[in-house]
Amino acid sequence: MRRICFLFLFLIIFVLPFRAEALSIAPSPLLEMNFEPNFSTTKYICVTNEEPGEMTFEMLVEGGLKDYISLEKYYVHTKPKGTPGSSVCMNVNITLPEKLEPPGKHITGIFASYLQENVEGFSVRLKVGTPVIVYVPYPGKYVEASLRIENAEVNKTANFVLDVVNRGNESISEMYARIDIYKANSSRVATLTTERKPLASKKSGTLTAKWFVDVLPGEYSADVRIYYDGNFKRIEKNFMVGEPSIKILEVKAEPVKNGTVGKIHVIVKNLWSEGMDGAYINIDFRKKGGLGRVSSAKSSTFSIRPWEEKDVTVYWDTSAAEGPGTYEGNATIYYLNKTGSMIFEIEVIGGFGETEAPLLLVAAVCAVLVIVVFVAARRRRKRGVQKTLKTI
Amino acid sequence: MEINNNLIAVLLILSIGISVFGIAQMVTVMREGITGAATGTGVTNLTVGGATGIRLIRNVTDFGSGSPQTGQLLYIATDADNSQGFDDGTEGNGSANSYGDCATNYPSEDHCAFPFVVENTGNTNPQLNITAANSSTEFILCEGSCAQTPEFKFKGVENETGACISGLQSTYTDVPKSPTESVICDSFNTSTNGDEIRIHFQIGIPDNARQQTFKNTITIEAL
Repeated sequence: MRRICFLFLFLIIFVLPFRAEALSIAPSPLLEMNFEPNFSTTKYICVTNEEPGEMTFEMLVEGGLKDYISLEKYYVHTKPKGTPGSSVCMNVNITLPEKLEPPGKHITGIFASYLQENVEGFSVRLKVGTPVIVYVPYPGKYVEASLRIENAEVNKTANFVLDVVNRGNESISEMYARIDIYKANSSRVATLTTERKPLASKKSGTLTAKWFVDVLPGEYSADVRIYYDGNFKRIEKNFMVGEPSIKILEVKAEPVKNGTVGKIHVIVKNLWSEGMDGAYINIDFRKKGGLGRVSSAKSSTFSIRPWEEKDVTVYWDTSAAEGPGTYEGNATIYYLNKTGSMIFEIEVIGGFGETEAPLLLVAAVCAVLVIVVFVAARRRRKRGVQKTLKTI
Repeated sequence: MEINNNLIAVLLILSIGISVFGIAQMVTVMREGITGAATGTGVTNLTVGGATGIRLIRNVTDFGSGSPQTGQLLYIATDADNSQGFDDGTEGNGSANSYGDCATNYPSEDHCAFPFVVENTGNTNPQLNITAANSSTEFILCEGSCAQTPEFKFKGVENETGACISGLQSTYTDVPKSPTESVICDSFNTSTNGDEIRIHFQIGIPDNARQQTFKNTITIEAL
């Protein structure tokens, strides 16, 4: 019985009024520094309403240093976007403590928060923040690093740049890095070694290496070991080796009714680290076992961003084709004086196209006439029966 | 004094004449070049600072109403063909890439439960986080104790290619209770055509869920 009752219970979920919300806070980050005991400063932040209506924001400080940061205002009322008063600025006072632990990165956020409250259902709070970042030095020598790879293109020289920071309280007398490059899920293709150099405590520097890219385009990974005064740090990064090329990955072609315009989706991928403009796709259709006549369809020109996978739509008007049947399509992409193709099949099925439409109209008119004649005949017969009854 | 139409016409023609004369004089002066302006070189220092900004392009998820499923947890999601009367999901920010009735009725958007769509409007790469005021067990209430554990999950999907530079939470995971946060995207891109992320929601409703309108506060944070 309990189960049956529950079938009639209704749940209403998430009923929210639609309203776009947008806000920004600047500068970001507000402060990024190495820890200094009792350091004190005053910074200036601005909160901007990016919406056409007035908005009131609550200002919040969240994170480990919240007790050491105070704001001039904790509520700000802003005017609509583009009008005087859409931005409100204020002072932020920061006084760091005598001691701060543990070593590492301490992030505290200063947020502007807007709550779109809904009495029934869900409410949404939007919080946009600017961080105060304080690095507490590690005892001894401690390296943090990130890798940038520039110009990773076939038959060009790629630059590997390691940004290294010594977050320790002792200087490093010598550091260098070894970089092993692997084809994704496969064997090592190259090993590089950077220059050797020292790095002072709480300072940053770079290590570089060059690689002539003599491999095929695709996904690779860099396994980096940074050696410093008897220690080492390991980081990994995946990267793409590219070439100025756009590849057709797939053609999605649903069956099209004869005489109508069909929609064909061509999925393409830019295999280059740069964007390309003015690309387009042309498709030639030829009916299998047909007369050999070719009908064509062309997409509009499009731009494609580095490494972007894009769905390009091509519209095919089948009224110029040879009627229902299986067609072979040859999709060709044109870009930078280059081309690439893919063959696919598409079905054109019988339907009420332009040729069948007049027939359909005649059939409909006939049907209406039959109904009218039938109704008229029934009425006449009814009247005939009534007359007979009267006579009786 | 009475002003007749003829007088007004004369004054009008006169004023147009004066205006045309004035413009002609100005054009002549501009052809000769502007005189009296100082020449020289100067240095302008300009620093473009960072700003964190996001826009909630779409912040409504309406599953409509429905009923629990006997004997098991009923899953409904903004990226699924939902059952038990609940509206179906959609991948689109107004696109036809949708599920069930939502796809059938597009573009009227009836019977569609939309994901949230967030755009990075700033010039930094903030971390995008999510949290909720109440956990799933606190806002999905049951008659007595719940027959199954209620669930409230999210996942991120790039609404534009390349919108998340790294750390996209692409499988469903719990929306944590505040102050704990979950990362939707570790580094949110600023690129004009690659700066939008969809946030999908999935809810697990126990079979003895109480008749109710679910209430909670979801926080979307960029830092």
